Amino acid sequence: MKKRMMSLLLSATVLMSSLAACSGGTPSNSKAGSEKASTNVEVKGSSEQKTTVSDTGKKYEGTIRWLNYKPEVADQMNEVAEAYTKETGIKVKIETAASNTYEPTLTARMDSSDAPSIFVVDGIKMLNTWKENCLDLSQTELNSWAQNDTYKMTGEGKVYGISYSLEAWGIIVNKGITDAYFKSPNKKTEYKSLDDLYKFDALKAVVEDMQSMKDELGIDGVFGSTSLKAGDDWRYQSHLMNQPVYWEWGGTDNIDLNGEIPEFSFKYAENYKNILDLYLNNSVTEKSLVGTKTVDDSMAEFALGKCVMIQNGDWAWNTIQNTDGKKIKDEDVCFIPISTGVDGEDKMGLNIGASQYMCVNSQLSKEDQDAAIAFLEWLFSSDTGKMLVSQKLQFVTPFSTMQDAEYTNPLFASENAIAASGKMPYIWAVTLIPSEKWKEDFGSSLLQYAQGQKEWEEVVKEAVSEWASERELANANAA
Amino acid sequence: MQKLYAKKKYFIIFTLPCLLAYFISFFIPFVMGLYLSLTKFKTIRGARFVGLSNYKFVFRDFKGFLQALVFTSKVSIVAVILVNVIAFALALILSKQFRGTNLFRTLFFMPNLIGGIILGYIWQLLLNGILIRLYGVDITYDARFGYWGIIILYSWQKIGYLMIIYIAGIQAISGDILEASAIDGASSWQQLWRIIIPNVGGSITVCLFLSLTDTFKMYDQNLALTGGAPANQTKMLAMDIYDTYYNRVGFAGIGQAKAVVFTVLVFALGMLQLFITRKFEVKS
Repeated sequence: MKKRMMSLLLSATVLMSSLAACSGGTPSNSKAGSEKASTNVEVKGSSEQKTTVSDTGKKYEGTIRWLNYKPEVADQMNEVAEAYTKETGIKVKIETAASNTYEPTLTARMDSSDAPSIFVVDGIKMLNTWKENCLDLSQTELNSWAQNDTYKMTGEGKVYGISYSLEAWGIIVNKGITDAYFKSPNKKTEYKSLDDLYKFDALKAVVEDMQSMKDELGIDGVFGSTSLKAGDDWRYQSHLMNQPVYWEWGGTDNIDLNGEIPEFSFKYAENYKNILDLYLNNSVTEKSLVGTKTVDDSMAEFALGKCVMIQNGDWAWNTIQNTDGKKIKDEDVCFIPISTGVDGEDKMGLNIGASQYMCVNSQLSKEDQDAAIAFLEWLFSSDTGKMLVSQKLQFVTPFSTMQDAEYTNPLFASENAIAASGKMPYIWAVTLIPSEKWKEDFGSSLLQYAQGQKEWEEVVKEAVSEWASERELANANAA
Repeated sequence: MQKLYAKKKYFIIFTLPCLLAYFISFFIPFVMGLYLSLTKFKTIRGARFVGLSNYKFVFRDFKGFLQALVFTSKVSIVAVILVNVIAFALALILSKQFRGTNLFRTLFFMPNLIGGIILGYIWQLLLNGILIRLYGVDITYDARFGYWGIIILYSWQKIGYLMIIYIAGIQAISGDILEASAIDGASSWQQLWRIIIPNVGGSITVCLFLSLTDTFKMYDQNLALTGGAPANQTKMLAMDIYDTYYNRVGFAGIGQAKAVVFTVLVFALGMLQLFITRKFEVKS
């Protein structure tokens, strides 16, 4: 009898512990794992928990989970989490979704028992999908600090999300090399500085001239690799699309970022082709091989001084700065706008917008929600938090509390200079692209075009017809 | 009687954990999946019943599911034949007595121990290296490159594994039969066709089953090697299902329906194959 009891017990424990191990989740999730295991294995966990209860009476004991959208600041986000835990004793866990997989990760996490307390939506389409998970933030202090309503996701009188990062993109330039070009006696154009390159004709002339002088300038090509590898093609299938959609939809005053997905006829397809061809033909990499290149490859080329220009945004500074053997000098990094040959583009500046909005998960308990909000308020108003945001995360935020923050990213200075010279920003209209599917398919079309496997007319035709069908689905999903 | 009774008790105690785990991690999800394939949902709690409309979409998804089905079948047919023929040939050679057989068996088996994602990236580098040399293009240039890439990768990975199974089968054949046939004047070709192949029927069944279901379920090798490029033309079924489920807003139900169709398909194919090859096995 005793023996039987023993084996029963044994098998039961084996089962319990294996189940506990399963629910622990990701390998990095060791803390959560031990929390759970403590319900089954009594000895160690419970004593730990008792101490946390006893030292403060009413402290929040759960874990604040932030599902991070930006893989490029994953390490810095963890520093933020550690700093908060150190100051308050409250656990913060950052989970980072890999590039281009945010929504799949969010879908999976929302269904799990440790759903994120803070998550991110990147535009109206995503908000429509996740609205019921977004807490109304209108009564929070955080909301009162955000100065401008264009930096919020709103609807039905509620504030669903607040942007934590205003981003700009354009063409990043290595000023050291362009200055050398402008001074060179061998140049064949009459342009004298980067300020002359706000029109496509000028940009094209200078780029092509520089490409022909690449040995003199010590570069492999003017533009970094056009990274069209699947998953790394977002600079083209989504960001570069901002130019044609901005012009087609009639500019800032006519585009409603919180509205329905508009129709799209790719009216400015030729302009898009202008700039894409310029990238492809004057590059470090052969056109036929762009399918092997990643964004990191191109950023490394830029940081190592192998190319002069690269299309990307201010978030890329982290990557440039941390490249091994970086050659480019910090003060040489600056922006010029993307031009495509549209009338009036010389008055335009960079593409600027709030790309991502923080949301608090409304499906959690009040306690969890309050803890998450308190954490966010700490992050954007306390001295430690502000230092971390400006120095480590390098987010430009819309919060009044952050106005005295100091930044080290030279691209921010360049953005300010361009804005100060009176150039109009392009708003971030690509958030209205109907679906990820459209972007992916357009990206693979672009790759086939670059490889010479698809005619441009075909690329345009497919983009337009798929837009129509995806738009219908997206708008139906919103209704 | 007492003994038998005790045995039954232990049977329950020791299989119960396994049964429970099977029930929790296979049976329940499968039934839930069946239900979810009939709904439109984002999170499981918010599922809304929509009948068979998801399935209707699946069978009209020419550029997605059906294209992936055709591609997967093409890969599967060629890969299954190639892998099994080569594995069997190697097994024949390595079941002979000569120096170094153990070393060769180990070497051939080793690729099987490397994960599919890593293999995918390694082979991508290798194949791209060759293609860039020869044609100045990479594997994303043409679907045929990806197609043969997947087959080469899969063969390289699985041949050693199937070879081990075939070796076990060949070694189980009694030496008496072979000796007797040799005395009766059978050539080694006749020995192969009349004795060895019929007698390793069990191994053939197992190997065909493994390679067939494996190629149909292939995901990580596909993801790492081609990622579906160019333009989804090298996307296999598992990847298409994943992408439908996770990468398309509002398509979770359809992805689930695809998964159900996929399960039924793989199950039916596997059973059909088992049924056919079993018939040819020699019952000793």
